[in-house]
Amino acid sequence: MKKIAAVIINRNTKEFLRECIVSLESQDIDGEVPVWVVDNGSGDGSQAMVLNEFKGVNLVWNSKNLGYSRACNQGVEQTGTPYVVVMNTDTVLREDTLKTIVEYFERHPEAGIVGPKILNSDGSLQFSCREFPSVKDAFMHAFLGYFVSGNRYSKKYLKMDWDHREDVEVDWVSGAFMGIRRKAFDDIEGFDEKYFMYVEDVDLCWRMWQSGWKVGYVPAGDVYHHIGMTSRMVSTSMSLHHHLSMLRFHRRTYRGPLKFIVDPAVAAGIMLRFLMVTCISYYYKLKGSSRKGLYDK
Amino acid sequence: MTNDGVERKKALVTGADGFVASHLLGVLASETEWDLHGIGLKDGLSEKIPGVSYRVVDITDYDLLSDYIRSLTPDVVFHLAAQPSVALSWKNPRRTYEINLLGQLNLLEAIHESCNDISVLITCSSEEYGKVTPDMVPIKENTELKPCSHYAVSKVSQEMMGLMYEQALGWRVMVTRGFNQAGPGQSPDFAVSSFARQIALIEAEKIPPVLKVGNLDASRDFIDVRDTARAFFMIMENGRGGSVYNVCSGVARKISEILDMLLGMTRSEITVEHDSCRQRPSDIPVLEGDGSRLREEVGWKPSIPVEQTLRDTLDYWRGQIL
Repeated sequence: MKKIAAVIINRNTKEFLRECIVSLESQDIDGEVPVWVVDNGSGDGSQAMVLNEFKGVNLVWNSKNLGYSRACNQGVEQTGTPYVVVMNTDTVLREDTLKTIVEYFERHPEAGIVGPKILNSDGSLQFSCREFPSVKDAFMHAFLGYFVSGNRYSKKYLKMDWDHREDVEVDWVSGAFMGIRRKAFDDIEGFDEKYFMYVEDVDLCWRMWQSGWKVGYVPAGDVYHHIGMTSRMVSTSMSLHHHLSMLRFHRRTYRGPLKFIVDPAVAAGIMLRFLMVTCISYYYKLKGSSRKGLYDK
Repeated sequence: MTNDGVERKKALVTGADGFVASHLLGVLASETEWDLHGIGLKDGLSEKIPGVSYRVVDITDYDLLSDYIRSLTPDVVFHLAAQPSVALSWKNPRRTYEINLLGQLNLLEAIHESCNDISVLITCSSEEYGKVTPDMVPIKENTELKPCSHYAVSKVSQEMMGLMYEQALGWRVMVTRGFNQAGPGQSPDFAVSSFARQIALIEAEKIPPVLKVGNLDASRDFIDVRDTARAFFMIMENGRGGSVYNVCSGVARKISEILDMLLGMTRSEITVEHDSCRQRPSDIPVLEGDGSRLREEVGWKPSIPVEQTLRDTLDYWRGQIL
């Protein structure tokens, strides 16, 4: 019986995609794992690579970039299994990753989403579990964290002082790799496609909590995430999408006092950050180097 | 009679109501002074071509066919009438053999009864080669035939039958093995036309923007139908009796590449869903032809680039949808 399917979202990352699919094909799990690649208008031959090298892999090929959220929904809709993993191409699974996800969901029937342990390419821990920050914490992390990564606001937001060694419930997990219970996904009607890219994972987890489902973290089934590889390709338009997504999420979720003042203030802050990040990015481009960690997820 | 008082050659095209034949008749009308006749199953030609006399005649009806041939006594025959689809041949193999095999037998016997000194061109298919391996590509005419569908078997049989008449009765019979035709007017049973039609429907918002496809990894040698029609005419003029000619471009392209080009010709956002389970039995991975015999003996070469074929096909369907 097919218990779990995999959905990989791709855009112009053919080599990462290949490595990702190979790691899916090496899973130590009973039953077949259907794999769907959703391609968002790649021009690097990704579609032909999938068709040519991976005959059993299914492909949803969008002629244009329809956005990450829409692509995730397209992929999940194709699957018919109780559990689904949705991932970026720059992830590589360990042999027991999918088994870990299935076992977690079977142990935790209340869980809608689970994130496994995510590691950097060098094997060090990647901080993939986050809090839903307060406006103040978000502001401080967004600005201060850009220059001083170990500040207390960023540490709190990224849960850096926690050892990541136990099964716990968390606010949200990184969309670079997440396991999703299909029933819960259908309950909340999937990813919100108004998020073209970025923050769709935060939003999904938030809506899970709002609907009575839980989000968990499991310190096993390690997934390597080559963070920094795809973030080097971030353009100004992608940065703009990120900041617009942050604003959308704030407007959806902020229920605190003086919303009529806070909302425009947050909008101004986000715009300021976008300008700051864009200027710094151009500075580094002119210098001929890239700023690592700009889009740490 | 021509203007010089010479009796016109009478040419018959079977399957005249079909896709390739409509283009062939256009070439014959513009390049020759022949008396042009066509037979088919539909009420009329898909495009009215001046000077073509058309009748509804079913080649599986021997009595009707032989009466017609007796009255016409053609000098050249282009035999295009057939059940042309591999997929349909799996759904209805009996009808495929009835039309392709028995229909051709009826035609040749009717000609045998009534005609002397005849030239016949029988259109067959590259599907006859079957599952070619990479070392066999590009495929020459002397490549071993390993047909792997009812359609392909019927075409091998048509070929054998036609060449037997050449040997036994001294007719001038040529056979073509066509590779993948594409172009304006093709049935949407075929990949390029199917994709183009669906894209046109999506552009007109008549269907959701989703294409469900099967094997995109297969490589096929696509050739424009207008080039094919010209090849048939030139073979009839200059070809050697008893010869088999590949009619091909000599360039194999993956179906995914063709689809990618078509998607680049539309502004609509389209999603292609490829389910790895959706494949025909015995799908052949690669078909690429060697067209050197046709070039050297007949002097033909393809002139229409594949991008133009795709664009013209898409424009054809856009016109049909409106």
